[in-house]
Amino acid sequence: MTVAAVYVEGDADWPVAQLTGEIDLSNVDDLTLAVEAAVSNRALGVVLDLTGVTYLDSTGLRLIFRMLRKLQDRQQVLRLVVPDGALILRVLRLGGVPDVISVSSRLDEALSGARGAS
Amino acid sequence: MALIGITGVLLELVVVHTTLSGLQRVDAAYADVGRIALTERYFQDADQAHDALHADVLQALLEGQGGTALPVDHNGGLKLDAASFRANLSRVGEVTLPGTLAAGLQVLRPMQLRYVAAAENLAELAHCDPAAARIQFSAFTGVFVQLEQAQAAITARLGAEANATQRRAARDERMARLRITAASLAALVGLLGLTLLLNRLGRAIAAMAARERGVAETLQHSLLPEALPHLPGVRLAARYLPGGAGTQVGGDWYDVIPLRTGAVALVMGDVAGHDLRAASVMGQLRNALRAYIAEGLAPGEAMVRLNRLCLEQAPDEMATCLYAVLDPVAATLDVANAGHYAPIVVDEAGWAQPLEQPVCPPVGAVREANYVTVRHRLAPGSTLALFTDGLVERRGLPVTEGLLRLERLLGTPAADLDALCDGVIDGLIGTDAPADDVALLVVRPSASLGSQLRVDWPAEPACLVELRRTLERWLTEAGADEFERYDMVVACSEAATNAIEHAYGPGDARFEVECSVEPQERLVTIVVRDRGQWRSARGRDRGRGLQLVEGLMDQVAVVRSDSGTEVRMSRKLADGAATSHAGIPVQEQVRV
Repeated sequence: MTVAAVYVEGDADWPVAQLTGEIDLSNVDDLTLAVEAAVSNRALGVVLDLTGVTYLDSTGLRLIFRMLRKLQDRQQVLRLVVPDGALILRVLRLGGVPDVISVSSRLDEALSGARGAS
Repeated sequence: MALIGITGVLLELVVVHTTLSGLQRVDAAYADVGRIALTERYFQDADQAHDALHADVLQALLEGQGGTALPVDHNGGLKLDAASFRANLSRVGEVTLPGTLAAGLQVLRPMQLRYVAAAENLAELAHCDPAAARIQFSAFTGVFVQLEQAQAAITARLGAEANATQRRAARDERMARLRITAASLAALVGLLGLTLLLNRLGRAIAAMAARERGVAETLQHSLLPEALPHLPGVRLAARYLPGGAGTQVGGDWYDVIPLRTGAVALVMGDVAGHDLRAASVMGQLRNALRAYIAEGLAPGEAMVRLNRLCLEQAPDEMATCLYAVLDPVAATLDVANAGHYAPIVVDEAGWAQPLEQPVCPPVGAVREANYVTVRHRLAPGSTLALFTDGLVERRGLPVTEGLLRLERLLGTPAADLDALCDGVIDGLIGTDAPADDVALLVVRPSASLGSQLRVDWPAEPACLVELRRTLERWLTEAGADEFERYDMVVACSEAATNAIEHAYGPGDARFEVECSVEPQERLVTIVVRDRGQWRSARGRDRGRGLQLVEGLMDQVAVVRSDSGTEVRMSRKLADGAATSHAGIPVQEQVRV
């Protein structure tokens, strides 16, 4: 049974990959491939919207860091959306995600931040 | 006089010899019935894998397009289904069948093999060239439909042949028995030597009866669950009594299937009729419903498809069926009912009543019938009973009286669910064999998982969801708040993920989770144990798990030994009001 899904929207410069559901060992590889497929070589970066993610552990961190490295290799930027008070924030903080990736609490903030910076 | 005597004896000898060879024929015919029934079952399994392959290819196409929901294991599914399809075909090939049936199967075989190869190629193509794959898909669907029809025709012939052979065998057997009676009488007045032959006859009759019982038992065993699954927080017991004396095979079935979400699917069904045909239709419906359940269809939706399948594949047959999904964590029961007796729910005080629910037509009765799913809420400590008509319908007893007796018996306190089942069967059926088949399934979701929980899981990623659901529920009962629950669920999943990723090679491996809470200190301890050989994390971005566990729990100890690894972690809960479970209404009805 599928417990997580990826939806891609946004424009060519800044595609938005929305993840929903639970990310764990059983689906992390498939999700990683789907997110990577969403970013073309032309994009300036990608916004990973985790608003709908209800569960994430170190396998989810693995997805985020792998994504970050791949994007950096191509001079592209990764931004995250995680709502204030979300349960997954604690794991992201323990994993040191906010230290190296810009995290916004809302999608519009992340997008205006991204466009302003680029 | 002597001449007459000798002629008489010779005549008896001839009769006895004819009878013996007749009995051998009957025996062989029953063996045929057994083989045909077995083939039919393999064939149905292949048919199911055949449908699944089509869905796999469709899935591969959707994935090829990108941006769609991803299943947990996409290519794995296709490979498994292809392997199961081929395995069942080769099993069919190994059974020796009477002439024309074998020829029919021979013709079908190359089509089936081409189909599975086409499915594999197309799924592969979908990943490298989705556009080309989409174009080829309609041709593939054509092959699928064509093969489906051919397979359905063979399945129908297998069923018809099994019935015809059984009828022939039964007729020959009656004839043989008549001859035996005649021979016995003659032998009694005839010579002593004849008793030797009669002994042989006796043994032949016994062997034949055993063979006949064997066929029925093989079918029965293949169609009912071998054992009820062990589920945390759900207790189960079941009884099945075949109806009538002798060899009649029933059309009742039940199923208990754990779902990956932590819920459990409960099925109870009854095909009209008691012959091999009914049993084979029952097998078909059971397998189809299992496939729909595996796809995650809601009960009503699954029933709509089952109805359509029954009308197409077995237009002369009808079945009542009940499909319910019990979520022990949410204490909900989603039910669709196709003409079956409503389940009876018994509350903690022993008050029993049937679930109120619209009853829809039996499957196979009405084209385009609509089947609704109704969600019921279960009070803590409730017990559910699912059953077939044989339990409450008795000659000379109104059904309402049978149902009232059942409710009374279900409300009678019993030591455990097995004792409850025994009490119901004793009270309604007694010790004689029932006239009709009887199936009874009782289910009790525990009001609580207890202060200690110990569960064994297969070391597979798919189990992590179930582990999280179970732990979430246990921690809620232990009084942990939302944030504490999340932290501890992550910590436990990390340890479990490690066990799955690092402890074992491929094979049948398991790991164990043990949880306990010390109520005074409000100290939760979770232990995750595996019995594998630890190896350190491989690849980048791995090995972050333990670091997380240490951040999320107060104390963590990892003990590695030759016999396996134990991760013991504990955390003190904040002081606060423990979550209350009171106030859940009984039988709140929500249409979903």
